[in-house]
Amino acid sequence: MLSQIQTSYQRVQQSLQRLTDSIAAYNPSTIAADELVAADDTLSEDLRTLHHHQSNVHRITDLKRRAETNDEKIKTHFRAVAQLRKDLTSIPTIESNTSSREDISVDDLLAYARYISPTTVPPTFRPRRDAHSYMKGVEEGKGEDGQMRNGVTTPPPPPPATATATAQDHTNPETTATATATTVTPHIKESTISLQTLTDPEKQWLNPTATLDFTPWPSHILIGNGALGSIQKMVESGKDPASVLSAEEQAEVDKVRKEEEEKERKEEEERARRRAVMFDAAGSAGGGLGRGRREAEDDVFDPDA
Amino acid sequence: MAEANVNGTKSRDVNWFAVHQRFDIECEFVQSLSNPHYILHLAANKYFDDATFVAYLKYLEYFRQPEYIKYLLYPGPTLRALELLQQEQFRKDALNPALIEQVLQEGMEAAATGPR
Repeated sequence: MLSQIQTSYQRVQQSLQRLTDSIAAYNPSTIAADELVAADDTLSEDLRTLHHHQSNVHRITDLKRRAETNDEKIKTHFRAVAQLRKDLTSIPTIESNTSSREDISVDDLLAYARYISPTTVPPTFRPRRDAHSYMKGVEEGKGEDGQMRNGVTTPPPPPPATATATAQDHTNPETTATATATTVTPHIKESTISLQTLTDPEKQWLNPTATLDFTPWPSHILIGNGALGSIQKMVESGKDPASVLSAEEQAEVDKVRKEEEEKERKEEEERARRRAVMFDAAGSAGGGLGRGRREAEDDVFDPDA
Repeated sequence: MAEANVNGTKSRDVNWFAVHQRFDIECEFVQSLSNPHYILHLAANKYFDDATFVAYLKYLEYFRQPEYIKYLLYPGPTLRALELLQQEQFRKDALNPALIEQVLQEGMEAAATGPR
């Protein structure tokens, strides 16, 4: 490109030089002028080509730049996708038997959560120092779980009593009753100076079980008050538990017995009536059958018989 | 409902026993297993030596299913105890008070920290 322009430019120069020489020699040659014009045209032609060439070069660089940015974008996208995939596969999956997993409704879950709230803590549990407010929240929740069937026939820890309890830490009477049996006693004596210098939150963090308002299993008192306990009492008192009937069974049995008694009574009356009839029929003629029967009934000695 | 008529003779309905539903009794029993002292009591009275009792413990595993688990008031400790009791070594070691104490401690801590 450059050489081409240079040659045409030189050509222009030469022709110009020739023309000026011829003019200087008082011999203007039109040929030289034409030559100059042609050379000039060629030069402009070349300049146009040069312009075109330059714009092409610009375009090429521009496109190159755009291609480069697009490549970068693609690379970043690929990296992001790879990272996401890695994150996705790194999420821990629970090995679950999907065949038995049906859709559980939100209501069921909430009802169950309410049901076990007195005896469990959620993962986001932040134990309160004020045991009163916590127990109150539990009571309100427990009052509405009437529709949940309570398979455990033992009564839940009595909520109303806790509301009026004194300002002790463990207001649940069931907990205090079993505190001697199942609550873990602190291994450090309170008299140690180091324990006294610890603040309350630190103590609670060190021994989280101490601020529990509940025991996570039924106490022996609860067990004793339940169905198993009542069966045990029956066995100890000598009654066969299998023969003990529930209220409705008892009512059924009573009804059946009453009906049978009714029937017997009716039959008795029937028989008495029949005997009376036969006795009359036998009358004073001394029907042995009737009298015999009467004698057998009354067992009265009749010398005239 | 309670008295079934089988072959004309009245036989005892297996789902009722001494005023209570069989399911009530089983639910109570499985949950009382979550109390480690009760396990100690059972071990001391030699219940774990009875093969029928052990088979019954295995049968109680049905409480893990969702339709039965919703009746448990103490689900965590109950199922944990059930799992432990399925192991023969645990049943043998249940007489050891130190082990019972350890189970008790673990249970209390797990209850205090909640599910993680």
